[in-house]
Amino acid sequence: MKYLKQYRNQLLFTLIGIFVGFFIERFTHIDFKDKVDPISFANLILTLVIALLLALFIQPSNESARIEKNLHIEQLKEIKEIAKNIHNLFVLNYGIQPLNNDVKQSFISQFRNLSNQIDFFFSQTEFSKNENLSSQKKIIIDQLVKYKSAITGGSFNKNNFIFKSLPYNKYDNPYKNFSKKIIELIILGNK
Amino acid sequence: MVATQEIISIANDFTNAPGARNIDEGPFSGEQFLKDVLKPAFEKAINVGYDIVIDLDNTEGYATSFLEEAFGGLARLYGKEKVFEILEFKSEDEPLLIDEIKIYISEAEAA
Repeated sequence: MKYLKQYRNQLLFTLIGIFVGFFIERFTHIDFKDKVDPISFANLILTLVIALLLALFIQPSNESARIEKNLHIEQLKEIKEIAKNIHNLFVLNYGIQPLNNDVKQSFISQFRNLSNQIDFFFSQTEFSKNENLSSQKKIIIDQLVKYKSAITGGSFNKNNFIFKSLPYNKYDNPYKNFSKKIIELIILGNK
Repeated sequence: MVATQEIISIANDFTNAPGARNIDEGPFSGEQFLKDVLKPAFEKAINVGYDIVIDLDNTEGYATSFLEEAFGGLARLYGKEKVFEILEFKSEDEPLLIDEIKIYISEAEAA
């Protein structure tokens, strides 16, 4: 029963082939010769072998690569989303003075989440066929550290800390650079 | 028998809520951790000849300033080669913290 389900399509086409062949001979005027042309026969066998190879190996391999790419892209989108949430929190709190401890803790927790998602992503790429992705780990970590330093560096944990004591771009540019690298990674993951 | 390794757990031996960079910026700062915990343990490790494992787990998380002041500060005092030779890190809560700290140590002398 299990095999019947698995090979349902193949079985269906075989039956259609037999059915069509049976009727063609009886109800049309196509004349079948008794002698088989060896070149045509070899051609038919070769075509069948190629069709089987395509169906059994190349198509599943392409599907598996597509699934892997989609998985990587989904994970990278999640990373980008977490970075965006951190940026949104920053935008909301840029003018707030002083920054309260709950907000500070929220930044720290979200950066931890971001860091762990990146770590998880690169642990997956170790098994990937796309070696370009794993080679980007150091670049992404550097950008993450720059982004985290821009937000939680300096006197971030000081009681009277305010973001506004520094220009907006000091925080905004590291976020943009980090996001840009993640987008580059998405493009690379899709190749 | 001489110990070959000392484990410093930041959560158990210092605080589970690491603070700011400098002592005058609030409690449990990176500077205080360096002064009270890390530097004495590091000097002892050099003299006796063993490694130190820094356990980073079970805290509420780290601001960059704490980590840079503590570990970058240690590298500014003893040189990054010596720090890399003696310190090892453990972090299951946030494994990339180890890469982050290594960047602060590597860049400390140039700072």
